[in-house]
Amino acid sequence: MTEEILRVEGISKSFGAIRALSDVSLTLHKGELLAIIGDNGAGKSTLLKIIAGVYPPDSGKIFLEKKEVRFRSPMDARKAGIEMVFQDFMLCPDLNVTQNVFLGREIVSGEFLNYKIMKKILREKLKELKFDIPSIEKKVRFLSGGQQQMVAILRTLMFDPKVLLLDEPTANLSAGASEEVMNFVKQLIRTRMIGGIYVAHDLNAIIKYSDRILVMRSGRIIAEKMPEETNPVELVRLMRL
Amino acid sequence: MARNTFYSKLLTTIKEKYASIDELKSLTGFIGILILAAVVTPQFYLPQNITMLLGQVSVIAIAALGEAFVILSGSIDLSVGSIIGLANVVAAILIAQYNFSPYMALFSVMTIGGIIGLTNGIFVTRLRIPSFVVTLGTLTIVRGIAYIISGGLNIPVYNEEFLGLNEVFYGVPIIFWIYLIALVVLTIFFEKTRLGLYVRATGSNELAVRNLGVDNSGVKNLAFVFSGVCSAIAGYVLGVRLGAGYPHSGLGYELDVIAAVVVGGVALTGGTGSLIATAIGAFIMTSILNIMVLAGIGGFMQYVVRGIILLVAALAMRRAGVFVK
Repeated sequence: MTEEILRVEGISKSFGAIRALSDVSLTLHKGELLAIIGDNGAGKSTLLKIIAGVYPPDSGKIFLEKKEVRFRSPMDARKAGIEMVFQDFMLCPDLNVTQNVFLGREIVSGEFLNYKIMKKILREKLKELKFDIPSIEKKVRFLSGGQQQMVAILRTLMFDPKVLLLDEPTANLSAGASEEVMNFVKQLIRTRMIGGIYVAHDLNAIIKYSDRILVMRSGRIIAEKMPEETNPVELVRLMRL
Repeated sequence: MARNTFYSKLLTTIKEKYASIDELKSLTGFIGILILAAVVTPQFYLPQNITMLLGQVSVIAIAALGEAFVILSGSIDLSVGSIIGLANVVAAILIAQYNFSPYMALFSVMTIGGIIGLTNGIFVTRLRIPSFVVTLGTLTIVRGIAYIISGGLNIPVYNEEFLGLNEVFYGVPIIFWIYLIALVVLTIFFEKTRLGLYVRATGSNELAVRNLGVDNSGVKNLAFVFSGVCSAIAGYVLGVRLGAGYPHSGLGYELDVIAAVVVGGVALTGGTGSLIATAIGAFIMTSILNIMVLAGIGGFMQYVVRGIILLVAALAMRRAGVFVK
């Protein structure tokens, strides 16, 4: 097992009277894609959002590279190196690829946006990642669903993240596009030694792509499985036991 | 077969390029109107008519600049006509009754416009009331204030410096120069700065912008402030043209301003469009009015034609994919 990159210890979170997470702990290693599965309301998305700085936890601690971190906003988490990919891409369809990739972290000269440098950096990154995008000046709404999700992933990679959080990244994609996106993510996590947490409903994909599977139920982690030792039937049984 | 694929790909590329450049659609429409004018009313091109047209377009075009910011950010501002009326009245009172210099009066009405815009913004972003409802409220309130402070009476202004802005400089009315300066400054802001980009991004996908840590409420407030300030300048310019403050001036202008923005190709859903396109939209609406007057088409009929133009423009934008979101 490689070195730990992210550790979550005893995280609890309630929304009013509803307890979304109870004493959740997990460890993520460098180069590992960890899957979290569970029925709707099991707490998967809440856990990801706490790690991404969207919600503060009621109690518990988060350690990034063994140092404790506290995020007050998603921007804090992004600055620390935790990036999230969303089911619905979270892109601005009317902006072009370059503008979307740098949104919130534009490069400026004085008061003015410096697209020349942004495009140069983006082109270098595309070459480095062997990424295929039709044109970086194309508005995102002219791209296919798969290409849009690739742009969203590209945005998370621009500033060398340490942890990638993937909240149902392929839910809106065709089978072909899903495979392309997941193969890319998997290879990326391996080669760059990033930690990845992957929440999805497609159990076959989970078994195919993840290195380890955590099963959540009613806000708790109730089982840990290795993909080669389990099957969808067993996972469904664990989720609904 | 391969040839067909090549041509269909080429056609798709051209279509996409055409749809992706915000100004092209409205520019095509404007060129069509200029050709129509050459055929139907050649007197449209007389220098004195062009000068008059430039004066006419200034008021709507200035207000449309601010409105474009609001619409691009995904909201709408219905209070522009009333702010135009209030600014017109306040500028007239300050100059005629309180001996303000025209520049101090301009600065004062811009401040008032900015405060009204900020109020609109705060109601939308903090109190989470839809902009349509908020600005419908301020439309009535601000118009009421214009009537109250003027006592419902007209206020003539005899200040030479103020009326001097009606003069022509290099064949172009000074008020149009004011518009051009505002257009250049705001276009640079919109196209080249972070905040300008965030206005469009907020209109395109507000949730995404917020998730990335951008202050989308601040961006919206800024757009409403711009709209208030631009409407105030428009009201001041209207005062220059009228030589007085009329409490009912600018009545119904919000529709002309929004029509100019939409005809220019700015999507009412936000995110798509540019200020140059809005300028073209203002020219289209004003030129049509001018051509109809020259062609002897009566005032009642003008309403019908302008409405039809708006619908045709909306249809054209839809076909180009501008409104598909």
